[in-house]
Amino acid sequence: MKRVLLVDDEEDVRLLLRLALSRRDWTVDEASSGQEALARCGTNTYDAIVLDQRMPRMTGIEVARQLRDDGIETPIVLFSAFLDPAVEAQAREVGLVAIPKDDLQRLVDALPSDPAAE
Amino acid sequence: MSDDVRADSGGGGSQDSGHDAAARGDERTVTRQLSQALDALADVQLELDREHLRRVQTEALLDRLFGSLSDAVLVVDPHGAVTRANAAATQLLGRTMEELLGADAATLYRDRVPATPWGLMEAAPDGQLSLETAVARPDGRGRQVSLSCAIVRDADGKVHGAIHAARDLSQVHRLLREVEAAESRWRLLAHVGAQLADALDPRHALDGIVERLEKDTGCSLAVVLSDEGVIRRVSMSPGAPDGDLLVGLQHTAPPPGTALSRVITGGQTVHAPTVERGFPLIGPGWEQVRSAAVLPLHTETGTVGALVVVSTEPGSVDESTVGLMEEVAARLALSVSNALLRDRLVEHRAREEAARYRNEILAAISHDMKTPLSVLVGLVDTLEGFGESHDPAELQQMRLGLGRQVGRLRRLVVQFLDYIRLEAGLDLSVSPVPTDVRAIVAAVTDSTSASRRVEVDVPDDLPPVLADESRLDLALGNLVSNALKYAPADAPVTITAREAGRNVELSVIDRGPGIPPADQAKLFDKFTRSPDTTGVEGTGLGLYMTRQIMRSQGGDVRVASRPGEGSRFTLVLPRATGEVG
Repeated sequence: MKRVLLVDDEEDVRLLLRLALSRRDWTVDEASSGQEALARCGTNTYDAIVLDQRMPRMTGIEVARQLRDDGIETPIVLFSAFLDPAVEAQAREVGLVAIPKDDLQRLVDALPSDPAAE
Repeated sequence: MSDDVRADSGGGGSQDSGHDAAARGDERTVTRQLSQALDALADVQLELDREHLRRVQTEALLDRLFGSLSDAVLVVDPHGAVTRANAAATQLLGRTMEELLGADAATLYRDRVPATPWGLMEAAPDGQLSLETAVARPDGRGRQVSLSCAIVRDADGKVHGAIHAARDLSQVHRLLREVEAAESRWRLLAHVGAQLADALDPRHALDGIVERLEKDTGCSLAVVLSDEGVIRRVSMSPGAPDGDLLVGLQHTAPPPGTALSRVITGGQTVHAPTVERGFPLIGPGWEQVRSAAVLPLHTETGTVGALVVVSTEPGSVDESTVGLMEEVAARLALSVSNALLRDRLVEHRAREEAARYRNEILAAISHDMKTPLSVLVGLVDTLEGFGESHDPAELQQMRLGLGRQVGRLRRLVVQFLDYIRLEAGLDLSVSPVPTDVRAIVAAVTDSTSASRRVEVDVPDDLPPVLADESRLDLALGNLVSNALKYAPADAPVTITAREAGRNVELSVIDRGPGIPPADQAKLFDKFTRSPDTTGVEGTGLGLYMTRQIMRSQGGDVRVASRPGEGSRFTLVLPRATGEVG
């Protein structure tokens, strides 16, 4: 089974994603903060990571930078309700796919379809 | 004198007449003696002529000398009558030479002056006296003089009279007065300049300036500041007549047809050294004013007001006063115009700041609403996709999630609409009714979080409060949402309630980082956010709106917090006297 980490301080966003992704055969792990996400990535291997941008203490892009610095090359999607050009530019810089929060279908499509083949 | 000399010579000739033998010789002797006597007489006559000539010459010389003096010189006889005067004396004393000669010198001075030699000797042992006095002229124009008097004696010390030399001081005095006036003018202007420069806002220095000007000039003053022809501000000196008149004109245009109106709209100085009753200076009133000037305060962009100078004495506001006031007006105008420029700059910045603030608020509000909307849309879509195959546990989760997001969205909309009302200057239309606090607490905890622990400690017998339900729900929701946002995920948030006299206190307690005392006071200001919350969603409106909402329904909100220990936010609500409605 494909394994995804959902990082969002909003539990209902996590609920929504969990429902949507588990129906597409993803095993879903959740983290409610950047620190929690980094800790989970230290002990688990994921096929994809979905990051919220605005979270207390650490933003999604900061989490992504840290993961890349730690040598973790897992595909990351930045799933944010507030994507302005500055955030999108930063996301590109770190190699993230940025998707607005009201486009759940795009998120599902953007996740790797057959991670076992890669 | 010449008769005496002849008698002596004749006497000398008769002494030798008795000797016959030597008669011819005697005759010759007599002839010789006579001749000698005649010669001597001629010499005497010659001497006398020379003496006369000398005397005439001396007189002429004296006349020329006296005449050439710019000081007035009088020679008086022992009785104090004028025996000689020069041209300067006739001018200074305002009399002809004929009027002066023989006049009693004492009557020529305004003060009692020892005019006779005896008087002089009494006043000064050495017979010399210098003093300042004024001359008494027939035309009444007294002139200040410096007078030197001295007794005149002949070679034997016999007193012949006295001499008076008077120097006209009015020129000197005038110069002195001008120098003094120039100096006091300079001091006054320097004072005005310093007052204007020292004040944070020069307009606040105006009262002090007019008071000082009144003290120095003896005229009353008013500074009228206008904006687009309307009087905005009036500063009057304490002695100004009928002060209410000008003050009453604030926020109106000066009455048309008055000097003030002409100056403010036309920018020309009006000067009336003598004011007739009924002169339209400011408007009706100010009947006591007998002398006035109104000067414009000119700036590059136009007239920003007027300087009004008045006096109850005709002629008091003279050319020199107006000249001084022109200088004052120039300084006032410059300072006021600078202050107006600063005002405009501040206004401009405030407008920019307000626009920037509005944009930020709108961006933050739109962002805050986007999240629950996105989740709602996503949940509804997912629900539709479920079809027949559904897990009851998942459905329940979704139902709760939908409820939470709807509650959240509802609070955001209530807060947004209240914010718009406040910004528009409207009251929040609250309708407090007796309300059960436990119901509100339950609604809030239901709609906040499934995973986070919110402990509730509300006594069952808590009396109802007077509150607007949707607003109390919003206020408590804001506090709980803040507590969950800032406190660590594993630390519980507690809601407690208790009676406190005529109030009920509803507290939300977190074990978060706490708030430094310095920041606590600003917490309820518009758009304040904790500095270490970068990335946390929120408009910064929450606590500000909570306070507005609580106060609008007769309650309040306060905070107690210690850095490192956590915070307690308390909603204070009046107890309802009746039953829950």
